Amino acid sequence: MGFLDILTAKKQKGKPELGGGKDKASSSLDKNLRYLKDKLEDCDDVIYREFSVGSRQQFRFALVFIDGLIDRNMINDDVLKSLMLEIRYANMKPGILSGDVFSLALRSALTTGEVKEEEYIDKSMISLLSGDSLILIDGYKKVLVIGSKGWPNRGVQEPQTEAVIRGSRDGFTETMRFNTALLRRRLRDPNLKIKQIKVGVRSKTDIAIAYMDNIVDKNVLKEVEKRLERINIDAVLESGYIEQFIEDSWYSPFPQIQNTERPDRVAASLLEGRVAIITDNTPFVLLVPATLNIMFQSSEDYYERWFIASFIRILRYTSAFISLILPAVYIAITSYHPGLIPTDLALYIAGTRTGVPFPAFIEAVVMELTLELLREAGIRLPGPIGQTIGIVGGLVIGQSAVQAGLVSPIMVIVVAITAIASFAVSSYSVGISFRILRFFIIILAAVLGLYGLMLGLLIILVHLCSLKSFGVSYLSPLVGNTHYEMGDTFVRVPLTAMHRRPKTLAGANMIRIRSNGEKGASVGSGGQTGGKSEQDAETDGQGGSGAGKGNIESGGRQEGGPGIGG
Amino acid sequence: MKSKLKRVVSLALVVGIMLCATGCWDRIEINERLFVLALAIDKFEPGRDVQNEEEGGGQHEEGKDQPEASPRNRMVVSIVFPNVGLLKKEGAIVPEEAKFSVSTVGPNISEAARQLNTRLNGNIFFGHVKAILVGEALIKDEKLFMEVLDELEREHEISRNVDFAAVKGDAKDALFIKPLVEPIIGTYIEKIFRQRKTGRFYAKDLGRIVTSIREIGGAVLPRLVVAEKEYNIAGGCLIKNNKFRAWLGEIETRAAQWIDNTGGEDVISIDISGIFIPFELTELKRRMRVWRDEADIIHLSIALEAEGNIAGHIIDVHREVMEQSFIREVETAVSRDMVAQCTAVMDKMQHEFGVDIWSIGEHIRKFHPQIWEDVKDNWAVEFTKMEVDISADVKVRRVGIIK
Repeated sequence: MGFLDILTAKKQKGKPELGGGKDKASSSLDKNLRYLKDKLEDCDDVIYREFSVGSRQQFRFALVFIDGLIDRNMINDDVLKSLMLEIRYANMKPGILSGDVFSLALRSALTTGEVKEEEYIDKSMISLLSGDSLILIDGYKKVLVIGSKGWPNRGVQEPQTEAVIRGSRDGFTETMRFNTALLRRRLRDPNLKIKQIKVGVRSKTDIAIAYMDNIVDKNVLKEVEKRLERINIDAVLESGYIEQFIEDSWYSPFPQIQNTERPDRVAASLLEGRVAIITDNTPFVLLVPATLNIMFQSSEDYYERWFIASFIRILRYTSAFISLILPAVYIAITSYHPGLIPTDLALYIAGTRTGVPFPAFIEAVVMELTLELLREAGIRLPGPIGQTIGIVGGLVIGQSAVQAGLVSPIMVIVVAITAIASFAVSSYSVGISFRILRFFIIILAAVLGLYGLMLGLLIILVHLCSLKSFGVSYLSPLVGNTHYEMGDTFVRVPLTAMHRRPKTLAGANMIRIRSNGEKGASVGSGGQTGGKSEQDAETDGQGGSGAGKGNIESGGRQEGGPGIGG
Repeated sequence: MKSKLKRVVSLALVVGIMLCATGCWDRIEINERLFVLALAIDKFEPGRDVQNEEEGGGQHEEGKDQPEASPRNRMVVSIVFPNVGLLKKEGAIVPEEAKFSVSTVGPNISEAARQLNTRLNGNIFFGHVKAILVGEALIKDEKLFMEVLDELEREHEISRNVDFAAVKGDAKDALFIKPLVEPIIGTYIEKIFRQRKTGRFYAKDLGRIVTSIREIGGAVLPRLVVAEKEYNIAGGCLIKNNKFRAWLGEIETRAAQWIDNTGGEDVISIDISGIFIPFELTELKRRMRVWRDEADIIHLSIALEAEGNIAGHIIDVHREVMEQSFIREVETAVSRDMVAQCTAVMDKMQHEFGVDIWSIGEHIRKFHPQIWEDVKDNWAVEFTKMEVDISADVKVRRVGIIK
């Protein structure tokens, strides 16, 4: 099998074995404990606590948990104290404590919220390893699994990568459960489904698929589930693993899946019919399908008035284009077509380049690489030192390189504008794609002039046209019969005019706003009915910017839609 | 596996051949080019200086023999390019010189350019030529002039809208002076042409002159006179039958442009009761009408509609400038003056030189095809026989600020 074949080979087939469901729990406490101790040998963070319950202490219990993964207070107060102490104060007939102690413990004694029975000891061991506590009772063939997860957490903080001037300040955290809660807080709709699966043979990472049941495109949902099931990997440490396993084409420089730290963005995307994949242990949530247009959007675009938002959108697209071609244009013009620029400029460039020892191409590549180097060095260093790097790199090197006559001042300007432009692209990963493609185009321009530049742009365009993300064309809505959605591309039309959900993404319930006089927007099955939802939307705390004009359905769009539904 | 490899190889071949065959493979760094800003072409006459003795000629070579008369030495080609290093202050090779002028002899422009390349430190680039000057002697030699025009037109680097001027005397001299106001010569000439406050020269570019000569064998080139530290571009040089016919004066050229509907702003001074009143021409429209009467005589009627300002009178106002009658008087006087000038130049063209510099024939061809059918074979003669009626309607729009 050649290298090409390995690259082009289909991804893993078959469902991965996540373990569990093989070994049944025994009725003997000792046997069960031995099973666990055997499997968890040399795992010193496992704590076994054996104790007795009952009026005559006749029932042997054992509590097993992982130190550090559980909420100790809860285990002490609601499990141990309840079983060992408080159960005796209950006004019960004598002898009741000698009955079916298992169901007694389950129904009457444990004062915790989340308890379930488990037949298989190996399955319960996995629960144990993910933070649950086990209660083993002598003489019963079942294990009680107590939801006692509680570990040190970073807490909800402002997202680092997607800061906004206006907009919510809470970002996702590493704990998946918090993340789903942040979503729920924004979408109080029974149609918000959060399905949980485990991925990773060893890590058994929790992955949640979130979507709006009556908006999502079922084909996309099915495809997501299919691709997730196909992943057969030992561990998923970050959502990037998932992304690389389920993306459409590995060879494209463009990200085909969006990642975000912002719950409001996810909520808005769900309301457009997209699917969110929330991975445990990372604040980055994946959103599919993704299009190039979506990558250029920022959640703030919808919070600001449409004039500002449209201006910024155009600016962003322009800056992406600049970051892609500016150095290439400079090289092509100075090396091949100096007749294309005004005479004064041509003479000035020629003047500034006299004595520069390198051709424009080498100059550009060296400068661009230096800049990438600075950027990379700045990221890894702590804040204050990062700034120093910026000053040393940007000012000192730039200034002295020009003074030494190694680079022309115009090239410094070109490189600086390019850098600023590339940072103005709202999505970090798309910004990186453009940065890499810039080198490709620089080489083409250096070899073939403007002809090469156009050739490069055409190649990129052809590639973009052929690219798909979960069945959705990557260039949509710029391609296809989707004129309605053009209102949310280079410009953003006023929210009051965004009546429908994007056709390319949503699968059902296309109407987002209904104008006055019509019946209230329906929320589909299981939701509140029209008139009521209208009231809710206005009284429900989060307010609604579009409330004056349209009725807002109860699952009103957070980020992209008019009015914020309750 | 093999077929896959085959496909990859053939794809690479196709792409490779396509790129090699079509790409731009002429990379020259911008600082390795010499931006020629003006090009002067003269006829080579043995015994005359080729290496100019002017101080401004930075490339002057001491004691070099003047080229001999030989069939190969037909024209003198001079170029001027700026000292671009000066724009960056440091880095200039010769810090004092703003421009370098060099000239050489050769059988044609291309070969002369190659000869210059053997002496210069960069690649001569004609993409930014701002002005092309031709010497008097060259224009008088029909064959050589046509060769030069053809070569200029064919050269892809030279833009079609570069300014073109005939120099009284040697064109080369224009490149070797040190102008007072603008050190870089090509730009200087271009800026004179671009200013809009005078209508005393025909600002015709290379493309239009070549077209005009091709169509009617004649044209009016702007005339450039070289002084010690400056130029004067005014008047014209009339080309007939592909060669020099006569110099035209400034006033004649201006009137010719009025008829051509290309006149710019200018001032017409008229004598009213002993005061030369400057009338600023700001707006000029020309209507042209052609018809044929029963006697088969072609009539051309040219109506000028002019607007302008009275720019001066006299402090001690004895007749109020605001007065209707005075304004009427000025209008009539200006109109009379304009008609007289136009009639004079029309008469000169018709009867003295016989050149249809306004392409009136072209106008007839386009708008009166029936007339054109009858006259097209004999237009040169018919042009001289044409009855011309010129009228001018002048309006004073402003009289200036007065107390």
